Amino acid sequence: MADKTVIYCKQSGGPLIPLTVRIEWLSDGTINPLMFWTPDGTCYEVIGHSTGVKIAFLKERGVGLRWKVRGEIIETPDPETDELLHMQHETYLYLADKRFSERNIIDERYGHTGKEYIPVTLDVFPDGDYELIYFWAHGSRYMVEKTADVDNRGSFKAGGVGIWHKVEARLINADNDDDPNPLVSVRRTAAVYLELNKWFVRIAETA
Amino acid sequence: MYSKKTLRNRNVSFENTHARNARNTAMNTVAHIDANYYYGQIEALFRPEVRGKAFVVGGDQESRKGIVLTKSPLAKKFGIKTGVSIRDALNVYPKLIVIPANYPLYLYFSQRMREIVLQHTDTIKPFGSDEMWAQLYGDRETVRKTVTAIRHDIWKQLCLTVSVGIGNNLPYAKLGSDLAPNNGVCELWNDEQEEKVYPLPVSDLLYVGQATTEKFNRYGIRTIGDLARTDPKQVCRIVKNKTGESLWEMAVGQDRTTVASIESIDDIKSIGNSNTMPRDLEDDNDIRAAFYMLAESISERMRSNGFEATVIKISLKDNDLYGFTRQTKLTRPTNLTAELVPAAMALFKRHYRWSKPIRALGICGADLIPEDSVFQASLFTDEKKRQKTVSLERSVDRVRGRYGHFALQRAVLMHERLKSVNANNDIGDAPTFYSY
Repeated sequence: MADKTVIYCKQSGGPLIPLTVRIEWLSDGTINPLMFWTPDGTCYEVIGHSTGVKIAFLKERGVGLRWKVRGEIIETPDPETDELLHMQHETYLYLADKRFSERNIIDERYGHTGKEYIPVTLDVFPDGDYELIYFWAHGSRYMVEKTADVDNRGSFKAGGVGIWHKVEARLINADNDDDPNPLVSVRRTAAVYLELNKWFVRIAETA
Repeated sequence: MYSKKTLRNRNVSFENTHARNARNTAMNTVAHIDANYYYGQIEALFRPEVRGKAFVVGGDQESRKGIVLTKSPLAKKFGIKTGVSIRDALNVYPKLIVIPANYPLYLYFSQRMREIVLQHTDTIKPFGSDEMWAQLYGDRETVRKTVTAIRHDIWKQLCLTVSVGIGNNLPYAKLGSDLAPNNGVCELWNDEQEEKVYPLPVSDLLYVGQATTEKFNRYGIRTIGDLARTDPKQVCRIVKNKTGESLWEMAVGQDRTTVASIESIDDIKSIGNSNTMPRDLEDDNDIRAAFYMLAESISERMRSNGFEATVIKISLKDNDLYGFTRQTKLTRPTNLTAELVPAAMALFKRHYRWSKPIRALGICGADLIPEDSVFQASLFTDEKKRQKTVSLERSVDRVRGRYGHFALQRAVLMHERLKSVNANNDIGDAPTFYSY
């Protein structure tokens, strides 16, 4: 995957443009694009998008997600040329990686008593690699300051398996990146798991 | 069987295959890895509330239909047996918790388990969804360390315990994992066979089923040692075919089967699929529908790998779990569902008289040859019509590849409960590829 572009936008018949995309991955497994950056550093905010469609890439024999998005430029590489700001473009956005379109086979039939499915925000890079940015746990919002370790791991106590992320995170306000208490920064180490199409934390850890 | 050109196209060389086989034979240490009550462990992982309780996986509690596929240790203590009906199991222990099977999840765990083992070795041979052999290298101490690492990784990543058997050949390794305690290891080396292997009942040996055990018992062969001390020609006469010699070799620890690499496409000799059906099959129409469901999955796999089968095999088990396998040569090599199913039906009708409902059914295309092989065409086949069928089935593959398995369904499956089953994904018992 490392030398292959899997996150990109493409107009019908047009060239493939590698992107870094910020996505919101909801607790029910739905993924919504929030922002994206083109290779020249232009940043678009997604102001509207279709529902993500699971598609098969016949040539590559893979599967992934596609949206039709409307993006507005909110940042340009050259701060002096602000005439491009607020311009809007429509394009098709692709996350051509199986990780983003896994089937929900660990569904409601399981009680999930030991885990809390959580919404997370990620930046996904053109090669499919990603970085956790924010997550919610037990009603609080956290900003990830460092991802210390990533591994395939199961949690017997929580009752789940997946890609385990050991992160150092700071408690922040629900609507901005500030500390809820300006005098005391609350930091914690958390284990966040990506289980097929959803993210979870152990309930015992968040309680 | 394969042209050099075909092999080159597949990026596989004769030299590599021979080198691997030679290495496997020279340093033959094999581990057999078997997940303990596999479906049950997975369900208990995702359902903490059933841990430590008597539960079974399979069937449906409300309708009291179906059979027990696996049981928890406590259910076993209460006398629940695998294969009995849910109704009978509930009669034995009314508080039994019945959990419906989630095959896609078991298949996912199976793939993950294979990936983990492949991090420790280069060659594995899957045996069903929850078992596999792994070729190991080095002296005994190194092998023990590798096995410990494999067990540790499977627990760490999947929270599954496995029993592992280690030996100098595949049958002894399998025997070892059967004897090993849950989450334990049992070593059965050839130099210890007299005291560890020979006293075991002959029915413990791989591929010795109920019928063969009865035949052996009639000749006074009750232990593996008895079999090992019998003349191999006499064993062939007892089982009435050449497999007798293979069984004798297994008993004496001289089985020469190697652990084929899952990656080596040149080792594929057959592609098959079999499973216990959602309900017992009661007449020829049921059987035909089930054959269509299974044949579609294997013909699609054959086409995607560029193979055609020259032999078709069917296997079945009735609801007393008595079963058999039969095979026949096809009139022409094929990878078409439309040709495999009639052949399978003919074979079934020739060998089965409806005495009991059928619980499990399997179909397998064997003696595979490359799709582009030259063969003697029949004067009586309408090639134009056949080419239309080829195009049709390939088009169905493409549509299903793009829109999912259920985008197109055969009419024969629409009146069946089987229509909700995707034999490619939902049935996890059959290995994707297996070689004999």
